[in-house]
Amino acid sequence: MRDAPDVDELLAAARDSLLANVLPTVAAAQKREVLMIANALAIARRSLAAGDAPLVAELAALRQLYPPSADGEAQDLDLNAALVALNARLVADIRRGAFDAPGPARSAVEALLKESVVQKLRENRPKLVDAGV
Amino acid sequence: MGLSVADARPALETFLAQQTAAVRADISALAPLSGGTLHENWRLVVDFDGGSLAGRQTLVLRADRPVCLASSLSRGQELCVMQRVREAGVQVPEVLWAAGADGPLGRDFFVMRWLPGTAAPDEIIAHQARTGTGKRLASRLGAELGLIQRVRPESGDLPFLKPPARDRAQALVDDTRAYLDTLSTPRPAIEWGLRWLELNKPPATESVLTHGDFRTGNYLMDDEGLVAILDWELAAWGHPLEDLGWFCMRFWRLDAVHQTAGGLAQREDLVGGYVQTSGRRVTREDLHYWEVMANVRWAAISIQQAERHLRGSDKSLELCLTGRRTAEMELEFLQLIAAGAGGKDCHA
Repeated sequence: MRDAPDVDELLAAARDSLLANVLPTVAAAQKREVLMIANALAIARRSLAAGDAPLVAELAALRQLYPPSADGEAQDLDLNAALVALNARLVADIRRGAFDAPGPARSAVEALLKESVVQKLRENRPKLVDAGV
Repeated sequence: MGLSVADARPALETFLAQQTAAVRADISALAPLSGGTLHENWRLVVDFDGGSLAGRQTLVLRADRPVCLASSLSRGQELCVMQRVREAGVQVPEVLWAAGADGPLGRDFFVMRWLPGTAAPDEIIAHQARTGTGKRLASRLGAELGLIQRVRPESGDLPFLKPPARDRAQALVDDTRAYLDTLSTPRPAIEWGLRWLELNKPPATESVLTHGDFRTGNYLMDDEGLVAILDWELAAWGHPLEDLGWFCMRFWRLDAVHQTAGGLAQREDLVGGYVQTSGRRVTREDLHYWEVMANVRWAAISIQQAERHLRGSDKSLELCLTGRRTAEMELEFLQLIAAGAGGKDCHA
């Protein structure tokens, strides 16, 4: 076992110390850099907390669009490889106009894209999601 | 990649004296100004002994950083663009001299006159909100865009710019797709935006000079209003509404998201000023299209910025964080596309 504190607590303590003890002491020209470091630590913390859950959800949504049984696609790809493969297929379909016409397929892709973008924002800039943009 | 500005001080003094035919030039103060990721800007106070600028002058030196985007102009070319738009009546700093790799810094730079004011977006947006002058500034910026567009490729000016595309919108879509094809990670949201841009293209129109990065952050203002438009290194022949769409992109509004023109005022305020100097009619659909284009392109460029860090050529936390902001532009264009030109927030 690792000793306490865990990764989340370490990142939180580092960020708190940076903002409370370092930020007030730096020259005006360096404040922006310190705030960027604090922001990077906050993003890292949220990404670690989310773990693979957003990627698993994205893969599930892609599998709804491209059911595995229909194309005999390999099932043993790891999570990232499976996401790259299915997103590459989605990209090719979007480019050739497969979702140009209004209908359920187009709506499904729109919903999938929006959800995966919102997932990223929950880690990178949750303020925008909370604001109900 | 050349000397640091501080190390080049004696060589710069010789250069300044030569350019003005002064007996000598002494740099009495040298301080960095906020620059950006591509360039560094320095404020110089120079005492000229005789010559064409005799006396004390405050100048700005703008130099390439060691790593520079291949698509941006050299400082000498940027100087030509600034002189040309100045002749067209655009408010820009007076650029005095440029030098290249064989000059005193060993890399590209130019010297322009220093002007008062701030370019910091948070200060500008807060000032406009406090004084209620955002409409006036947005309209003035729109009017400047109309003046910039009086510079046309047919005049034969600025021959170093890439020749204009016959169909600018399609060319931008093609370029962005070609870039996405170089990435190892597919980007379906950006592809969705590109497909929409391809299907909803406006008819091709005449090319005009575009600034290329026209936004809050790239102009100077003081209490009286606009002082100058800065940072011309991305100038190109483009579509008349390209800079307007870029200016209205949500990203540049900071927290003033409902001030759709650069965090200052409404889109219609920017367009109002633009119509006066351009004589061009702008429909809500036109501007909506170019705002989607701006968000799609900036999404792709933000990936490119992060890549500069990841490839190790230009290590920077700011570039890393820009890569983590791609989803902001993706969400914005997905929503703009879903809402259509008639959606709320589209006033122009």
